[in-house]
Amino acid sequence: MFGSLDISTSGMVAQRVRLTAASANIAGASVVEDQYGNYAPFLRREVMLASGDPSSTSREGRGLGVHVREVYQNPEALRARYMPSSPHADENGYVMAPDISSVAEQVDAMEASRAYEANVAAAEVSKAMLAQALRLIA
Amino acid sequence: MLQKTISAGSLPTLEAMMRFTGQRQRLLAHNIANLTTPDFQAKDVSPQGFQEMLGDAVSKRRKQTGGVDGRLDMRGSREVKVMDDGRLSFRPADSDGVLLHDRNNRDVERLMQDMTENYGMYRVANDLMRARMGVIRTAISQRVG
Amino acid sequence: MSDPVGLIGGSASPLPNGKPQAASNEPTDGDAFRQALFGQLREVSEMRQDADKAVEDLMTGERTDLEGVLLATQKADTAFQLLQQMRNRVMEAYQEIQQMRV
Repeated sequence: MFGSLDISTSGMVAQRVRLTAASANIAGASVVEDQYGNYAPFLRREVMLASGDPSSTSREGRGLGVHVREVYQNPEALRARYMPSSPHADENGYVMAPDISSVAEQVDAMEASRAYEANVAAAEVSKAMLAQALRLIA
Repeated sequence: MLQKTISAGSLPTLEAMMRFTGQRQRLLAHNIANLTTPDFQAKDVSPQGFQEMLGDAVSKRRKQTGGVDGRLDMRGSREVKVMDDGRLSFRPADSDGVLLHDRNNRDVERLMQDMTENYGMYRVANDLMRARMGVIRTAISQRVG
Repeated sequence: MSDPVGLIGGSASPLPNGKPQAASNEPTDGDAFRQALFGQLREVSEMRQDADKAVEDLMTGERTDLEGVLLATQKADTAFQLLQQMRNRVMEAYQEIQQMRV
C-alpha cells in the first residue's frame, strides 16, 4: 500500500509536465526568432509518457506508475504562414512558423488537469487506507 | 491455542479481504496514473472472482469443522495467488474499455467507481476487524484479582 | 437474597435486561446457578458464532446487507461485554465474601 502513493505522485508529476508543455506551446505559438533576431521558430513541445517509474527504488515499483520518457520538440510542427514583412520570409512572403493551435493546447491542458485530479483522488484514497490500517493498532 | 484465538471466527476472511482490497488499490492507482499514456492497457483483478474463491474456502471449512472457527485454506485463482504467509500475488487480466484515439482503453469514470467501491470494502473489513480485535483485547485485559 | 441480575433462580431467561428482579423464593442452589451461568455463556457464544458467520458471508458476497451484519456484530459484542461485567461482579462478590472475618 505504500507503493500506491508513489504511483499516484508519479501520475501527478507527469500531468503537471503536460500542463507546463501546453502553457509553453500557447506562449510560443507565434515565436519565429530568438532574442538575437535569428530565425528560430518555436518547436511544439510534445510530452512522451510511458508507464513505469525508473526512479523507484524497488524492482516492482519500477514497473508501476508513469514517467516522462522525453519532452520532444517536434521539428515538423511548422506550417507556412504568410508574413511578407518578416525578414525571414521567403520569395513568396511565407515564413515557416509554429503550427500550434491554442484551442488544441487548451484541450490538452484540460485533459491533463482532469487526469491530475484523478491522481489526487487516488492518492487521497491510499492515504485514507493507510490511516485506517494504523487504527487497527491504536 | 494462541493461533486458534488469533484466527478465530471471521478474522481470517477479514484479513483476506483487507489484503485484497489494499493491494488492488495499487493496481487501480497504476491505471489512473496511466490515464493518458498512449498504448497503455489497463489491467484489473476481479473482486467477484476473489469473493468466489474466498466463499469456496469458507464453505470447505464449514463442512469440515461445522462452524465458524478454523483456518481457511484458500487455493487461489488464475488472477490471485495465495502465498504461504497469506500474502496475495496478482496476475491481473486486461480490463475492457473503449479503445480511444491514442490506443489507451481507459474509462475514467469506471476507474473512479472501482476505486470507490474497493475503498468501501476495505473500510468495512477494516472496521469490522477493529471491532473484533477490540473485543478480544477486552477479554484479555479484563482481569479480576 | 436480592437477585438483580436474575442468575439465581434457575429460570432459563434470555439475557438479563438490567432491571432488578423480585427476590426469588427458591433457595440458592449452586447447581442452578452454574446451569444459568453456562446457559448465558452458551447464548453469548452462539451470538458470536452468528455474528462471525454473518461477517464471513458479507466478505464472500453471500450477503450484501451491511446493516444486518453490523447489527449482528454489535449484539454479539454487547452481549459479550455484559457477560464480562457480570463475571467481574461475581468475582468481586466472591472475593468480598472470602475476606470477611467470621
